[in-house]
Amino acid sequence: MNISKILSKTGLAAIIIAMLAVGITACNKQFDQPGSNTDLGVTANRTIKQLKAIAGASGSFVPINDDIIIVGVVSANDKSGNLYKELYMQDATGAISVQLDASGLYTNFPVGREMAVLCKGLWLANVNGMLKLCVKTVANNVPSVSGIPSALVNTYTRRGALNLPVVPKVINNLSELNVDLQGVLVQLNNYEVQDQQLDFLYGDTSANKSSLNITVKNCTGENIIFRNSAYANFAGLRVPQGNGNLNAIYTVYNTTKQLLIRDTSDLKLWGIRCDGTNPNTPVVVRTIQTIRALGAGTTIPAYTAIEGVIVSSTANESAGNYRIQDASGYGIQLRFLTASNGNFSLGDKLKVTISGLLVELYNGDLQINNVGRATVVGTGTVTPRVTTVANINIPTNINDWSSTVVKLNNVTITQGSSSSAGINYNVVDATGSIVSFVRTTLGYSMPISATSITGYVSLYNAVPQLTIRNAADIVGGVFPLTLLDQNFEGTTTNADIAIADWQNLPEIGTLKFQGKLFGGTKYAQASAFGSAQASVKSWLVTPTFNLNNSTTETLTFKTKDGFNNGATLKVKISTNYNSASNTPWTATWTDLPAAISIGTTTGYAANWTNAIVDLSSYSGTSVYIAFVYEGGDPAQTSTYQLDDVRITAN
Amino acid sequence: MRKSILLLLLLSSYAAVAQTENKPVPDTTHRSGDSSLVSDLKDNLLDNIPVVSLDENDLNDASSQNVSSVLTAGRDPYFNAASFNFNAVRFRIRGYDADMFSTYMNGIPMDNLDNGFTPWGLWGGLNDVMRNRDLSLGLRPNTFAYGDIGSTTNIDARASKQRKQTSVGYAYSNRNYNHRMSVSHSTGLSKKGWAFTAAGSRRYADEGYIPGTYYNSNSYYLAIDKRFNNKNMLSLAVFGAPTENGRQGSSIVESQDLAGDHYYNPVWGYQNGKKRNANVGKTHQPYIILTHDLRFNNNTSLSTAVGYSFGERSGTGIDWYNAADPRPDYYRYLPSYQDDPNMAAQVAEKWRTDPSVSQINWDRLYDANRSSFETVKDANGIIGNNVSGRRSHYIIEDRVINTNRISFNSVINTRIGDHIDVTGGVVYQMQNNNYFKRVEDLLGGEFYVDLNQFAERDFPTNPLASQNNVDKPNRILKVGDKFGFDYDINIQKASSFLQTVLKFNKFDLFGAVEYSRTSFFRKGNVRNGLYPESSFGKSSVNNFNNYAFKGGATYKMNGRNYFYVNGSIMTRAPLFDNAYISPRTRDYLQDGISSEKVQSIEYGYIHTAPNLKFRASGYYTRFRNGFNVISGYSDEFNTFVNYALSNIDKNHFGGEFGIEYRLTPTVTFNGAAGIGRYYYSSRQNMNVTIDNTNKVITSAVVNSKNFKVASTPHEAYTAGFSYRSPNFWFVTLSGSFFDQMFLEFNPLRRTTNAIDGLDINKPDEFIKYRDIVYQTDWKSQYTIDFFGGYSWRLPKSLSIADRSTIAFNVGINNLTNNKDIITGGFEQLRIDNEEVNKFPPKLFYAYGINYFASVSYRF
Repeated sequence: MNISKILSKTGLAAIIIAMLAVGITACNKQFDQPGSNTDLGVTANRTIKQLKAIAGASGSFVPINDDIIIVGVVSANDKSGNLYKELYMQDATGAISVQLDASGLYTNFPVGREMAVLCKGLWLANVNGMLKLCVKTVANNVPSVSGIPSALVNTYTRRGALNLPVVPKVINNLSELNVDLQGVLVQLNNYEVQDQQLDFLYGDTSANKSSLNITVKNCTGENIIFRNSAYANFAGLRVPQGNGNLNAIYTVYNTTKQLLIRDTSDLKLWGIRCDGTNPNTPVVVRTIQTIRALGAGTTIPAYTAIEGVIVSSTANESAGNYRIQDASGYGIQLRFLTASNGNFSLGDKLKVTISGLLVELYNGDLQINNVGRATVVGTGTVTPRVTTVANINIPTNINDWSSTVVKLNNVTITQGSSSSAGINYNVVDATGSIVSFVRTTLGYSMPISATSITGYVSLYNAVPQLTIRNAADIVGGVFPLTLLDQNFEGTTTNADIAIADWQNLPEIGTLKFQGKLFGGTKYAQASAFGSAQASVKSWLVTPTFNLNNSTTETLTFKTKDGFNNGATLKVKISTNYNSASNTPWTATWTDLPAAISIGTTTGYAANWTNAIVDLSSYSGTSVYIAFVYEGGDPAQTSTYQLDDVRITAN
Repeated sequence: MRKSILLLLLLSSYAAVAQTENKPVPDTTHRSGDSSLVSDLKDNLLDNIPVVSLDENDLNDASSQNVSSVLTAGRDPYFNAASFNFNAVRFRIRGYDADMFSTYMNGIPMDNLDNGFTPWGLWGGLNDVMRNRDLSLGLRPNTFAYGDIGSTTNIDARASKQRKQTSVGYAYSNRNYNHRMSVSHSTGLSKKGWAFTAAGSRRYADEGYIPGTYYNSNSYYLAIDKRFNNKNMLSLAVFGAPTENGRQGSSIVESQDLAGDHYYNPVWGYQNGKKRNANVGKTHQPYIILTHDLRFNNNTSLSTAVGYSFGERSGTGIDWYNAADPRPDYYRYLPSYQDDPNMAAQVAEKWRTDPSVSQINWDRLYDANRSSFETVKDANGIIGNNVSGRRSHYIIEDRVINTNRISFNSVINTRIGDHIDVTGGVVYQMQNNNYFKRVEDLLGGEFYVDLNQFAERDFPTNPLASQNNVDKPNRILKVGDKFGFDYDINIQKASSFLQTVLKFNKFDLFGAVEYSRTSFFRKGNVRNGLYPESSFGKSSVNNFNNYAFKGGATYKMNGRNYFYVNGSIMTRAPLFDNAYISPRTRDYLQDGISSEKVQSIEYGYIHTAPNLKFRASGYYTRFRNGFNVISGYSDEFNTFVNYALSNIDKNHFGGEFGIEYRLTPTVTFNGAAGIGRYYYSSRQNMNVTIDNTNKVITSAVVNSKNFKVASTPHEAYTAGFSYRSPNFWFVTLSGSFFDQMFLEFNPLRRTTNAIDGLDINKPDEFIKYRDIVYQTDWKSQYTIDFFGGYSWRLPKSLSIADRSTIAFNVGINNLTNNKDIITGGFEQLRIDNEEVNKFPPKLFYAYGINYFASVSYRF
């Protein structure tokens, strides 16, 4: 064989390498693109209206067991985020919501795309009047609406041609919105956002993320809400200001008719408003004096705002209430919508849009209710007007004083009635007496006298009161004596309480009060739970103290109960106990009338219950106070927590 | 002949301990019928190692991430077993990370400077010309470098070192690729001093062992040597391996169960009836090495080399914008997400039967892109420039690393007197990597926009925050455009070393010292909207000065018994990859970045008798002050999450045993055992950040003390018998056993926060605690492997050359077809404290029965 001579080795190698090179150039993989998917592949055998006819009452789920196929056009999807995991599709007879458990639905189901739903195996749910094509899932025996699982979307739906027109149905009168139009894209002509919401954003941009209703009205007064998700990408935009035509999906919530917009382009509200105002009218800042002058029951005109400095403190006001005073020297109470409450601070300067809101009387004081929008434009201070109680009390002037800051000099203060919400003090100057209510939430006790006291005037049933904002409002205060002040911070957590001169003694059983820690504060606790003792009675006794040198002695403390099933905590007083005996139960004790936390059967009470007990009838004696827990395991195991035991006096 | 083989084996084993001349091993085994066949077979196996992409969004060079640390089959019986029999379970010698092993080629250090790995793929398929290897195990001295503490290998692939022959081969396998065709030709050194070598191979599979994977690789090698006189020789080598492969993605047990397959691969789907893989790795980084040998005299030689490499490696994946997650095994798409049993059953049924559900649904992605007509306002940063068209919501992106590397190395070896060998050298390396993303395929859309949708969501009032490049906002992207991130890293390292080996009758001693300086910086090429101040331009330069000392002694009791002990202390500059917490978006460094300290000692006994070779050794290594950055895609944040870990201390200790016992002239028993304990010995500090916002998600101490180093068995054993026929064929059957294997742990689950509120005194809460905190281990495993070969020297009448040989090889691994061998995995970065198993770990399995059969013709 002479092959070796014919074919040199190098030549062979070169040929093979050349073959490999061919292989290199031929190795790139190119994929065909899939064909366009515009053929539904199925035809409808029911109209949407026929399908909807089988639905049941609100709350019901009707299974679809027949081979029902509906075909329609996508009219709304999740593109803007106003819908989530939901589409609307409509045909000539009606429309329906389709629930799909997937995000980014708009990418495959754009508005105007033909789609089919193969309904067999799905459910028709009636949710507060709205029909939804969905999957019924049951958790803990409670059925709920779920979307078609992502993996099954292609099983139950088909997608077809793109860019089909979705023509809204023009509605001339809201009464035309009937059940057949549910889910249908409708058009309302000549509507506008109501005056009082003109400065609103579309959605709730606060952390609450709740849905927000905006009311639109026409010039004949017909009105309807459209409801926006806080997750819509337009939630932070201002609502349109003018009058015009709008498109929206018609929905209901039980009997309430509602609208759902797909995007802001659905609201073409740019024209002159019903009252002739130009939608581009700037908002005018008016004085509080002029607003007050409108009088109770008057609707504030559109494009109106006020600007003033907050003179109240949230710690000493109802939640959502603020008092503002402006340069006119007048003030007014504002009551914010919960979603719009910006948690403003004393001294914030607010610009508040009050277009279309009502000036009204609340407990005899003027306020503006349902405030929806305010922005902090700065800070400011209001110099109090120095006056006398007698001046404030002049009946014809009280409205001028209301919600403004005043200062009274050289007052004495006595404690009046009290409740868990707070204490009424009587502030007396040389000319008269005025009530000042201090809320528990302020955490402040008034002195018995002061050089001056500052606060704003509030009217309660047309009687002026003075409300302070913080401790700095009292200058030169003379405070009462503190005879006892025990906050249990010195105790050891989870150990029996052992405080000098206090006694912690079980009468029945072996249970003692223990020190506990929760939320950064220590307190005393008694609980029969887990004691395995059928009956327990335990005493926590204060040191003795002498009420000889004081007057108007007051005992305050606070309690929480937990898992309450009948055990009791009582507070008692004794004038003849001898602590050397270590047997308080042998002495004579009188129950004191005190508010003790009660009724918390699951978990622990969220808030402390404040008890205020007048001990002035014991003035001149030496007394002991005892907290007595009675219960048993397993029948009465309630837990009681006790903190901040104080006795103050003048 | 057999005697000479054995002698050679013995010599090489001894050489590793006691230093031999640095001469190429003459291929006296050419016709021996076994040894070269065995090494062929092993090379083949290692060339076709299962490579998984650690995560479908893994940005690293995945092809080196998950490969066994040792790819060089040595001749030490233990090392042999470690690199061959233990490979199926990703055994790592001494539990070391891959960056503790280094490789040189023709004198040039080949390890990546960014992550310390050896990029084996760069010369994949070129086994024929990579045979001349000089391997130094552990802390032992060598003649070409200071060396790493795991092992140091020098591949001498120069043309003049290749045997004069032509070789043509074909192999068939069911692993990553099915076919390999190779050819090589070497001329040997001509009388005029020239030598040439050319080699090429093609490896491919339309579908590899794992469903949906494919492989397509070509390699080339060209080398020229010129010996000018008896003192100077100049060598040039050019090689590369352009490779494209469809990868395997990680998956969880639920989807594997539904698919009925541990090898379920979520990264492919049918497109027009063909399997299309979304995660395609592509590499082509050619290497050029110029080497100069200067032999001053018989006692002194100087070898100098310069190397240059350039090119891209990349991996594709799906990127998406304001659209549903395209991954089929996203947890919300699984039956377990359905509360309703009926729906769960329907989804499960779909998963089992419908590949459009269980795999990527390409049709849906195309449909979405084609259905989307949108207008981008102020496109390309030009006010009023509105671009309308089909805006893609899904694209294929290519994450590219474009590398440029220069290396210089000069090593001198000299013998002083009768007892002293001195080796010294200087090394300089520079590596510049450019990282960026590139639009690979718009999937039916017309354009994509360079926006960060997550920043868009988190900072709705700051329009610049969502811009990946604020200098060109709202950029319209077409195929081939760079987007997302674009930055360079630049690393320079200069070092010098000196080593002295003393040889006496009873003792060999050596000592070596190395000093190095490493500096690196990041250079941002775009200004990111979230980090406009820290994303663009050159960062400050980080410098590290490091030293290393090692030394050792060997006591040669007699010709058959040796005792040795070696020790080393060193500091190591942190790797770039572990220094920057999120280099894609900013140049923030880990706090207190500083050098790692490594101390190691090894000792052993070697017995070399004609019929018995035995090695027993022990080692103890401490790592202190290590840094690590783990980056992974998080479903929770829909972006990359970076876990920056510091204060990583580790202890590795154990024993290694290898035995080769000749029972009869034809039957040999081989045994090896590696028994170690590798564990973390400190509480690590962790800072978690995510790429798409500027928040530090959490900062915590990880209770990682005594957690085990994962993804390698701590114990591995093998035993086997070989029969070697005098008629040039052999068979080997061996069994291996693996134990003490652990799952890579998610540090977030080992923080105080992760177990907050659990009362471990309550039994049910303790179970929760245990499920969150304890490290998962899995049960021991075994494999049985067979290999055999036959070498046939063709009779003159059939031969096209003077001498030609056909060699047949076959290797069959995992004969029992055990498909339950977990080789690795990781806990998902997303955790749910209430229900730990909501995001279960992702696991990889070793292949079932797999084989490699080759035939080669040499003349």
